[in-house]
Amino acid sequence: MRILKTIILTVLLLALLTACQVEPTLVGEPETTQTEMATLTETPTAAPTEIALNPDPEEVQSDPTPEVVDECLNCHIDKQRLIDTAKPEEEVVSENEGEG
Amino acid sequence: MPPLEAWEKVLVNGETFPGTVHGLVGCVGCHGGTQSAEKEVAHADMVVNPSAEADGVCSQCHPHITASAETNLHNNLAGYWTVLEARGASPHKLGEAFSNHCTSCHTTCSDCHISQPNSVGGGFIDGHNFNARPSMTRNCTACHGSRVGNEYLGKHEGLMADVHFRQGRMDCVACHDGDHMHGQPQNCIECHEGPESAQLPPPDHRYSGAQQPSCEACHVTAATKQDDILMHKLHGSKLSCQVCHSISYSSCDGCHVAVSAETGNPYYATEGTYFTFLIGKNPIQTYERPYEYVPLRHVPISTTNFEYYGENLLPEFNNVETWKYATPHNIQRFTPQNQSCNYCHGNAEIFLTADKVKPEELEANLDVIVDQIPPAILSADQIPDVFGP
Repeated sequence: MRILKTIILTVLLLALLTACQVEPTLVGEPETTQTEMATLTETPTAAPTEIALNPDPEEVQSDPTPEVVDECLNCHIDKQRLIDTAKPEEEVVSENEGEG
Repeated sequence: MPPLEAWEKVLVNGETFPGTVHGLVGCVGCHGGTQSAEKEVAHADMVVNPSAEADGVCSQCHPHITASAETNLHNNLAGYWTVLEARGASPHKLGEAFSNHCTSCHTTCSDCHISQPNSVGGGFIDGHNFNARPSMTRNCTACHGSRVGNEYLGKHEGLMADVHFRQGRMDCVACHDGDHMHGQPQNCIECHEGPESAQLPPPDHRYSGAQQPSCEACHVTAATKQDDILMHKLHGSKLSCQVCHSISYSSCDGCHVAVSAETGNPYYATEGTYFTFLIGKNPIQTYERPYEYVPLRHVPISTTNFEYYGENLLPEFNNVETWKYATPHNIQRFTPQNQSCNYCHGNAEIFLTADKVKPEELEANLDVIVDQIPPAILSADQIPDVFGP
């Protein structure tokens, strides 16, 4: 009888201790900030097919930005083009006499 | 200086200019126009000289400099009107002549920092790179050539170049720095606390206000008589520095202006150019220029300079001397004047006396003509003992 009481008390004690224990999966898990949540939420999940198509992110080509062409400079750094397009200058013969 | 070829005037240095601060602004940013490979389209509505108005694009980044453009003599040419109006000229009657013959001297930012002045045909100096320090020969003396440039660089046969160039290799900016050129007198007032500085009016003439530059600013011991040179101690500020340290310089007579009947272009004809060295009375003796005697240069003015545009356009001609205060740019340490007392004392040859003035200009020059030549020094006893005990 005494042994039976001891066993019952032990079982009850174990049951109580088990009820107070913190859920083991939550212990040690880092808190997730709102920013990180947002990042995680916004990060697109690549579909398996896409991963297969682009296995190396380094090789991903961005859309080509059209190079800005400066037409003014293109012409004005080109000596031959300037010679070809120069308007002939009228030779002005100075009519001044003496030192100015 | 030979003019540049047409293409050469507008050739941009493609290796250096695009990477400069001004290059990053982009051509259209300053010049307007349109980005197009077609020349006519690209140049439509293009502003050839964006700095023509100082309060334009330049002022967006350099407001501290362009703020004084309005009173800058290079920009407003006020010096011309000061003397013309003093001789009775009216802007109404002389406006056309001024526009035809004088405004070509108007200077913009780019005339000093990018291009040669239009008076020598224009064109980029360094592939449209901006030069903070203007070129002495392609900017400064391109305009100031016939007198200042030729004297300073020693281009007159038999006359040595200025010692500051010959031995010091100094360019114009070495003395005429940016503050002076941009007309910012506040930097001068910091040191020159004279009575005229209290209410400094805008300059109306190149010799108005403080001397910019002044010899004394560098040659301090001479100015303060703290060297061992007898003449500095004896003459002090009675003589301008150039009286003893200049050599012959050019003077000119009547510059007659007209418009060619054949081509329609304005032109001038000067009566003559000749070398002089004449000491006279200082016509602008002030606190800033206290000298009693200065070298005088005949300027190319006459009563008939503007007769093409009308009669008697300088009705008060005699109000201003024709032999003017001069600062020849041919300074030498040793000159005939500073080798002996009697090169000047008792020597009427080097003073502007009445017999050297044209009769029709006598009245205009009464204030500068030397009536009494300083007497010759006949004995050492006549020289004060300035080194005394």
